Amino acid sequence: MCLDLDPGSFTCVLGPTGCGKTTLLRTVAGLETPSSGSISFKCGSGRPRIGFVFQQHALFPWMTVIENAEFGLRAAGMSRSDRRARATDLLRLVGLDGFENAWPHQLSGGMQQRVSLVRSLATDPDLLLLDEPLSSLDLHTRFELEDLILDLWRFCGATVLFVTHSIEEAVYLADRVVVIGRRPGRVVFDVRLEDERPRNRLSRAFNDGMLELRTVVENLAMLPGPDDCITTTSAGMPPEYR
Amino acid sequence: MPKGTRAGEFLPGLILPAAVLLIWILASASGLKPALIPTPQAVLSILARPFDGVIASGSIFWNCTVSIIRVLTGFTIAVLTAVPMGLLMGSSSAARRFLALSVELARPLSPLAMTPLMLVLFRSRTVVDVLGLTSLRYSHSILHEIQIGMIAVQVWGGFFPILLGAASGARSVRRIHLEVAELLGAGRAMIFRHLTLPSAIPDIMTGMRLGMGRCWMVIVASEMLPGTNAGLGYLIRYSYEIQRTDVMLAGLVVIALVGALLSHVLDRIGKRSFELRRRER
Repeated sequence: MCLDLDPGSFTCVLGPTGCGKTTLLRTVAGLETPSSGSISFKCGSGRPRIGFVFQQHALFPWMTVIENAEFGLRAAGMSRSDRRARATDLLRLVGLDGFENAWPHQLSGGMQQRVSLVRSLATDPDLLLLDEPLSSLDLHTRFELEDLILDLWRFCGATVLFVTHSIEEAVYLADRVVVIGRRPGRVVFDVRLEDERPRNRLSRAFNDGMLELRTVVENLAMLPGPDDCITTTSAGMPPEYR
Repeated sequence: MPKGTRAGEFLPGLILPAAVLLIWILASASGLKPALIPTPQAVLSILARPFDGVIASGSIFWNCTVSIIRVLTGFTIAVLTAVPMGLLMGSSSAARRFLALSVELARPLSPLAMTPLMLVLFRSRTVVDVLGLTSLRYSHSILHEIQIGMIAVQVWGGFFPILLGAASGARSVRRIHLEVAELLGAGRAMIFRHLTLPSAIPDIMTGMRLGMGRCWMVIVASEMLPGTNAGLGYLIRYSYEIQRTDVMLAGLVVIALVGALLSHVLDRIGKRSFELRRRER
């Protein structure tokens, strides 16, 4: 599988269960060692700072919201008052001011994911990896958080790699959508979306984009073998998939 | 919590003890020899005067204090040694490989089986002898009743449940939390302090409750062996020798009450940590 990310871009990864989306993210994060192949970063020295948001919130239940949010800063050795200040700012940015001293279990699922986002963004990562962060939330909360994630992305300028099951989510968020096929896991489709944000979910273009991607995802089984990676540079599709 | 609910929680638990008491009253009223089964009133009258000497072995209060101090001393030493060792075993596979076999070999040796050996090793030497508190030598204080051998048996009894609790607690850190911490750049010390330790506390508390229960059970049993002349176990054995079943039963009641009380105190201490983990699930 080959995948090259532009700095500062927002890439969504789509694909059926078991195709290795999560493994891809975990390998990039350094949580798994690749059995073959390599991952390289073009940023200056060594590994980039990586933020990771899991599907489940994975907050530390024995720490308050702000203690969770500032964990990475604490690990980096920032002084107590500095990290408090930064974590407080970021919590306000995601609309959680007033919840600094709450426990994670007292928050709703959406609020927990907001805290997770703050925790992984506090250390100012170069690369933000999100593993289906919104898939356990209800539709309304998901829409809210999708907009929040876009705001945060613009705010912090990190490169984003976002794994999702939802075609709609991918089309709403991404600069670029990559579809991964199963057995062997490989990039079978790679499309850039250049529509202006915020995108209108009800617009014609949006739904065309979704339809095209859905066609790809549903025809995955019939797609050609490993080495025939299809790449398009515009929202347009190669004619055989129309 | 409203008071009515609390009573509702508590009252059903009193049914069985009340039934036992009732059977006891009926049995003693039915003309059995009081030497075999004393009346509840006789036992109560002993319990009602805990500071009076009974059968020339000191008061109930004195014997109970001696037992409690022995238990708490041994239990404290067990906690101070078993918790660090358990955390080490749980968080380092090298330490686990080094210690696991020894623990598995030592664990089945019941503290009671160890008691005679401890008596051989330490005879009836007390804290006073060992610390060389000469000024106390000819007076009599509670320290004269704290035999080293008994404390060693206590430590042995409390050690393993606490050790295993701490070890399994240290292993219970969720993988996802470890990964998050690693990605956020936490080092080993920070992971231990902020992940391993808080995750282990509920299991450590469980281990401590089990350990406390065992210490309490063991102390009474080991006080029945030769080499002591105080403690609730001693009181019970001595009352058997002189056929005073009323004193014996009073001793049993005190053991039950104090045991439940100690367990309750530990439970309260551990409650917060339990709740935090339960909510997470």
